[in-house]
Amino acid sequence: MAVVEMMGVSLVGPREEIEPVAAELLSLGNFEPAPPDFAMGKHPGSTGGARIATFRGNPYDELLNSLRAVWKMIPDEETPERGTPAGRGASAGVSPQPPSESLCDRVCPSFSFEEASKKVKELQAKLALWRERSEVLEEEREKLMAAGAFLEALEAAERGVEQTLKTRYLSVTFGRLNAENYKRLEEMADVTPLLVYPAVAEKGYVLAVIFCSRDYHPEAEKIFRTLYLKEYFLNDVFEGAGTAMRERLRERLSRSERALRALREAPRNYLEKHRSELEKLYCSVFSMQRVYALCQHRGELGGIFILSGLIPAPTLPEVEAALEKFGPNTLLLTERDKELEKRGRRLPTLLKNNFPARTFQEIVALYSLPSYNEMDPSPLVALSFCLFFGFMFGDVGHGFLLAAGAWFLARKGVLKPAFASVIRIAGFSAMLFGFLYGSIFGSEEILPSLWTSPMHGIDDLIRTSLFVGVGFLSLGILINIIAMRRKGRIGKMLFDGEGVAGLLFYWCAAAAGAIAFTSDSGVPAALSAALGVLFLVILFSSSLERILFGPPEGGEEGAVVHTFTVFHALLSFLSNTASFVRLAAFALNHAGLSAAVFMLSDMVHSLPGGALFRAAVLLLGNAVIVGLEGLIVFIQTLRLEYYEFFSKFYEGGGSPFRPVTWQGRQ
Amino acid sequence: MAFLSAGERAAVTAKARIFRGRLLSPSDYLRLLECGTVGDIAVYLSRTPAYEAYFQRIPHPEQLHRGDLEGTISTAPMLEELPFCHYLGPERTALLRAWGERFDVDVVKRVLRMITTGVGNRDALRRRVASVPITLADGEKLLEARTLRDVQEAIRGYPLEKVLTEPLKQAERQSGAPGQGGFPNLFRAKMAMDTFFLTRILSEGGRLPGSEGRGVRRIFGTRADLINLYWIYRGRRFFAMTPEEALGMTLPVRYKLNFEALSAFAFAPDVPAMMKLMRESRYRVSFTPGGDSGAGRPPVFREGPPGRGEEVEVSEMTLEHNLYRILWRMASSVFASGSSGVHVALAYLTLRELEVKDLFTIIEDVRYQYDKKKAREFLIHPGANSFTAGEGGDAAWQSSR
Repeated sequence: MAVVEMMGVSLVGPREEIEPVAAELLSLGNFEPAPPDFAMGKHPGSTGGARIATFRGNPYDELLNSLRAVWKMIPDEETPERGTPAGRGASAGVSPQPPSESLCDRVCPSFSFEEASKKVKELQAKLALWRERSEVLEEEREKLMAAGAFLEALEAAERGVEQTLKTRYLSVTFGRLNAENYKRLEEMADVTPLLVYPAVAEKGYVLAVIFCSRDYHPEAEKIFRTLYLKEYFLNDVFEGAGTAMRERLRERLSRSERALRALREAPRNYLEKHRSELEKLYCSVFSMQRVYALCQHRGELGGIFILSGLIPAPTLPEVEAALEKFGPNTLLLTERDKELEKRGRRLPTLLKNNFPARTFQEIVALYSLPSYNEMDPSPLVALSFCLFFGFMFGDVGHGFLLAAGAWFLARKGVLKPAFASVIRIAGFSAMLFGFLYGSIFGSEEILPSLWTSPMHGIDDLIRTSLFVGVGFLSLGILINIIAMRRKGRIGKMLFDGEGVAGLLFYWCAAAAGAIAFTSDSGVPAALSAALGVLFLVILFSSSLERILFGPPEGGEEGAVVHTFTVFHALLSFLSNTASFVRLAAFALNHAGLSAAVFMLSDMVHSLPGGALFRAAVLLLGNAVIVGLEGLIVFIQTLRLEYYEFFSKFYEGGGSPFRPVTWQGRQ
Repeated sequence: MAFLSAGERAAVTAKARIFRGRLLSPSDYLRLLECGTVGDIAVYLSRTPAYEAYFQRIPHPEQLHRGDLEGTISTAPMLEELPFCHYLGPERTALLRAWGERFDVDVVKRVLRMITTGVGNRDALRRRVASVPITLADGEKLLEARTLRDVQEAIRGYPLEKVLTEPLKQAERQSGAPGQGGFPNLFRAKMAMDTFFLTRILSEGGRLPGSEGRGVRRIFGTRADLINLYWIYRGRRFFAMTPEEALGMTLPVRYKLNFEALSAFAFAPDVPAMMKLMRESRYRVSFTPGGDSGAGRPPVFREGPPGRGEEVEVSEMTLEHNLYRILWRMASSVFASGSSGVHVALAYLTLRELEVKDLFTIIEDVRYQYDKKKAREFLIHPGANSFTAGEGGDAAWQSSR
């Protein structure tokens, strides 16, 4: 049950040492930065009135983003449009990736910030130049292709180029627009003196030839602008081309495409040629970005830096060793958790548990992380989750399938590893209970039951589930008593409905209930009297606390509210205990479903091909039981944990400890 | 499969109705207008169910500047699309994503504005994109873009490429080579993006059957009609566009105003003739002086020269306000119809968007200490300006002044 003790540290030293110290802290991965007033709050006036310069933002963020963007600008192979079905399914092509950040050496940078910025800018300028040249070539290629399409359209209409382009009264416009805008152009043609002819329609674009009178051409151009028509001026393409127009076009196109290909390869070739230098630059910038992610909350006063944060207390020797090596002139100030809390600092929670409890931390975190001073319930959840799940799902075969399924899904990446571990362990628990019930794949005939079977021993199951319920609820209240003791709320601990008085009331009520149901003599008078007295103590708990221990911090709730709270708490003992009967109910449900599957398989056995049907029913039936009932039992277990158990003692609301590491905030 | 979608439709409708219950009430608007500073507005909003979640990471809302406050609340209509997606299958999720893409378009517009004006907060945009990644462009390249060419690079291979490449190139050509002075006019680029959004959402919505498809067409078809009407109006009235230009600017999607109607507006002989035609259209309430005075009573339009209290011209601000009011009523009527489906979620998101617009108006009014009574009249929510109610207790439409 380990919430790791935290400790506040402040590092004060010469500016030159901040980077190596921060780099070492990143490697240790145990430092969560805090604003400089974290430390200064303890030592007000220590700066003698001088203003500490604080910083916002990380100067290397933009540089790193620019560098990543530069890498992305290096083109990959042609891919379909993203967002289309083809695009979604297509691979991204072979595009160069920035170096893996986990391999970037944690070394002092090879370049200063200014040098790195200059190099990145140079790189950006180079890429921009290549891109501009590519664009010019692409425009030319597009134009040549459009000219080819125009030529084909004219040939289909049995018209010559010169005949079409050099007209006296007619204006001919040839251009490209997307399909949507082409539809709009067609609509406009109904209300304007335009004649529109689509030459080629492909890939969402239309190459169109538009005729209008020369007088109308200026107006037509306005329409073309609103429709984003990209006009191709083809006179220069066809000038003097003569009869070998097609061949000349083809030749020009091929030259253009070759040049374009070469230009597209240029960034890649540059990257390959200068790969090690560029990777070094990237790693340098990345390292410094991480260093300043840790330092961005630092303060500076003259040439001195102040860096505050939180570390797990057991790692203090490592931090001291790091400072000795990398920051010999840096001072380390520490502050214990109690002092931090006295100053109103909220401490993050770091859990440290062994394997089974660690697995169930996810279940606890689903509800809420424990706050710093709270007990970590993960080990208890590990125990209770297995118990409840196994109780309700006890079957050797189904438990095995569940565990195997979880393992398989985790391997395929469908389930998160932690969640898969929970289900695997739950599966093993179900197998264990399967042996206790003597149930394997729903049959209670094959294995002998080591304890009882759900179908025949329902009374035992109900009794046991109630006993388990009383036990766990009592455990919850005990934990609450300990928590209140730690907080110093002695009065509440003794007299509250979820304190000692409440626990005794619950036990007395449970005993009274047990006697009433099992004995003919009725509840003993002493027990009833004890119940009455305890009820009154609980009802007047706030008054008793005030009289004996003084008014509590934070004030008291009003009398009416308190009365209803008490009634609610006491009634909830009954409802919460009764809720545990679901353990028996779902165990019976599981057995009943299995029996139904067997009955169904027996019914179909008499049909033609009965053996096949029977096998199918058994397979499908067991799959439904494992899937559907497994899900239901999982939900019921969570409910028992979160509502019945946690409601007795658990508050949660903790914030996770998030140290800055080389990979980012954990 | 219709009965399988019944669960999706019921779930999303229930959620939309619950969310609608959290929208600001008229009394909230009153109190917001009474605030003294932008910080007071932020504090008030941080305590409302509708906006408290957006202020959770802001420890001191009273210290927020206008830009930060607007940035915070403007994400609401975008982020609230996400919870609905959990209940929906792929078809309806695609429709909601199409709504969300409008805000991706907004990110692109902001980047363009930053490039052309040099003003803007790139970090704030990064944070926004980090919380809801954009799908219409390469987010990283877009946020690093410093020139229009960079933006073109960022949209390469994405759905925006087809609609935006040419307008950006046109804008670049108009301003000359990048970095050599001259501000590119991005009006057409922005129009192209708005066109893209509406076309997309109507195309996704059109695939839905029954009342859902009808509902989507109603909400966004009305929006398209109003945009077409407004653009023709502005183009002819303020920019002296030719009829062809004005008509060419309209969206390729139409609802109740078909091409013939729009052509009639655009090719009207002059502006008064155009206004007359617009006042006779189904959206006449935007232009009619005197206002919508209650259910069932059409506005009066007199022949002949303008009489007392009747003016031909409507100020642009009031017209814009009236158009939003039409949209508000359209979205509210979807809830009143009792139908269920994803269109109810879209109606809610529309109301949310309009609420954010009202909040922007209130923020400006408070900043500039505008007359509160006058300020109320420019709010879209009819209940918020009910102090100017006409007969029947309903809020009066903005008339000419």
